[in-house]
Amino acid sequence: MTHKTLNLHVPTLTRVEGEGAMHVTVEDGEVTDVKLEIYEPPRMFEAFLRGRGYAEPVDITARICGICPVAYQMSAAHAIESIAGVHPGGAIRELRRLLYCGEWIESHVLHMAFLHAPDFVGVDSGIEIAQLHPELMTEVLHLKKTGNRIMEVVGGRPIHPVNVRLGGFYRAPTRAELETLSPDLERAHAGALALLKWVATFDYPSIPNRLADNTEYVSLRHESEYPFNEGRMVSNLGLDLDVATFGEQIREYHVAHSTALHATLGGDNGTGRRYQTGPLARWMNSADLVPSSVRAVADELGVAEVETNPFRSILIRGLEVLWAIEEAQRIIATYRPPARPALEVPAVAGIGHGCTEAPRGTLYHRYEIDASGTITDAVIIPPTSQNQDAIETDLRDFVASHLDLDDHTLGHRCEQVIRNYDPCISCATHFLRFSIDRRD
Amino acid sequence: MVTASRLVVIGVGNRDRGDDAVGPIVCDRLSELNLPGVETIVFEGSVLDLPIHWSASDRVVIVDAAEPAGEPGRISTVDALSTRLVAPGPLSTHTIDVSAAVELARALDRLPTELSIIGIEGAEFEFGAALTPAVQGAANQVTTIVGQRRSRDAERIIEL
Repeated sequence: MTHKTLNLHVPTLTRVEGEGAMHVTVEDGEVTDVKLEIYEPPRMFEAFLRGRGYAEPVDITARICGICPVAYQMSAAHAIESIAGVHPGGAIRELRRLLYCGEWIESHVLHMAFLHAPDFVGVDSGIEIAQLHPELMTEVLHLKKTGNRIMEVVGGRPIHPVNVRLGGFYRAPTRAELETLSPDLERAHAGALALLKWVATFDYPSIPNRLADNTEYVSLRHESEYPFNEGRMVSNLGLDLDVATFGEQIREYHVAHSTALHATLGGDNGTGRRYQTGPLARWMNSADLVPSSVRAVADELGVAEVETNPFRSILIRGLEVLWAIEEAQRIIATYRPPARPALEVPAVAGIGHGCTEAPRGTLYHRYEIDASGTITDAVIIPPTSQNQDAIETDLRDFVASHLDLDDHTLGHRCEQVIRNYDPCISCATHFLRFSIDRRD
Repeated sequence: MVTASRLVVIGVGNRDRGDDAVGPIVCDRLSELNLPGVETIVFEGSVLDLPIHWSASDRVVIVDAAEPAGEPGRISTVDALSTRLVAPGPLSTHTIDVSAAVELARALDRLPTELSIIGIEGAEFEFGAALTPAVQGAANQVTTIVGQRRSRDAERIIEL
């Protein structure tokens, strides 16, 4: 028997939001080790929050991510408002949903067209796709701009919105201001359909014997809406918990090869259940709640109500973009400014939990506040943390079923496996280096 | 009647990061001058969609802070129509800079009539900091240059 060792490096993995490293060991045809290595020092946001005022996390946590600041603002607001028993409804609730629509559109479109699609087309960047499909990519840019415009009109600026506060907003936009978005949304709807139909022509790899097919797909589910801010945490395996109980069930644990904590449900590293969040989970748990117009497009493109192939997550993102556009149009069409832009949220001692659906999955916040309104403890568990085990499992299964590929191709495919999750590891990593150690 | 093409001035940068704010500040000053035919656009976030903010007949000036190289306030100008910018390679959300956006416009065949990139070398990029004096001076200078350019254009149209 020969023992061959190969080390293959991808020194700079691009087209993910952040940077990391990965190592795979193969011995005698068996994948014996997979590590998604996240090695940048923690950013200490949870520590920054301790000792700060209870109204500050909405602004502080938004700075964690330039791609999904609204998710951080919404999870923080819901967690802290729950302590005071304040639940903004009506127009404030609608504006929050509209703001989230903007974030989903711009984040999903960026990932689909510029980060993920190049894998399927066989090019290195969105610029190369632009050369091949200039008309489509012009519409993609318009879609991105539309998402940014929603963020700007509702949130005050397109990145790190400044108009969000506990209880609502500092200023509610007028109806006329929202209506300025309508022409852009109309064009964006056509653009989203074109993007979806193009994406549906891709050849999708698969992962035979994918262990993660048996994983638990977890997301918010609302009684009548595709989820953004509210609902219960549910899964395809029967999980059905309120947000607070769900939060208490998450167990974060540290692994030596990553400075980002991993997470399981209901137990520790050895006994907890592996789960994943994100578009596949949302679609699996709430596809019945999208409007018939979106369902019809899904049917036309052959997207089932249950999709477990992670490579097809790009299709679900496209459907979510379409849905977010239609939801934004609905909100704008029925909008009446609230009597007050925000409800008062008093300082109340207690513990609050918040879960909302960031583009790439469930974002959990927990705050403990004393009677003076000072934060005494804070926990933030982003979706990428929760998805790390699923990513490593997919990598293991993918490599095991594609050992016939040369190292270069296998390396690229492994990056694509990671990109299936649209990981937002920018908070915690530098770059992804891929190495494979083959011992035949 | 001859109509002057629109002059679009795009300021790129984060207003809260010291000298990185120089592009937006130049735009603010030009807006205050209220020059006819001049439109200013500020990009504080991603510049990916920059190519759809101009039309083929526009003349475009992009003002952005340049990284420190020992001479704060130094003004550099690049004609982006005649110069292919550094190939950005595979994009990530961290490398979508002005160069990538301009090359994207080139790939889409969406370049304007004129496209200049003015870089102003910065020194300090701390949160909450003001412009350093040298960069402040450069912002004034660029504002004057761009403003005068528009005035000259207007005179030319009147002569015609």
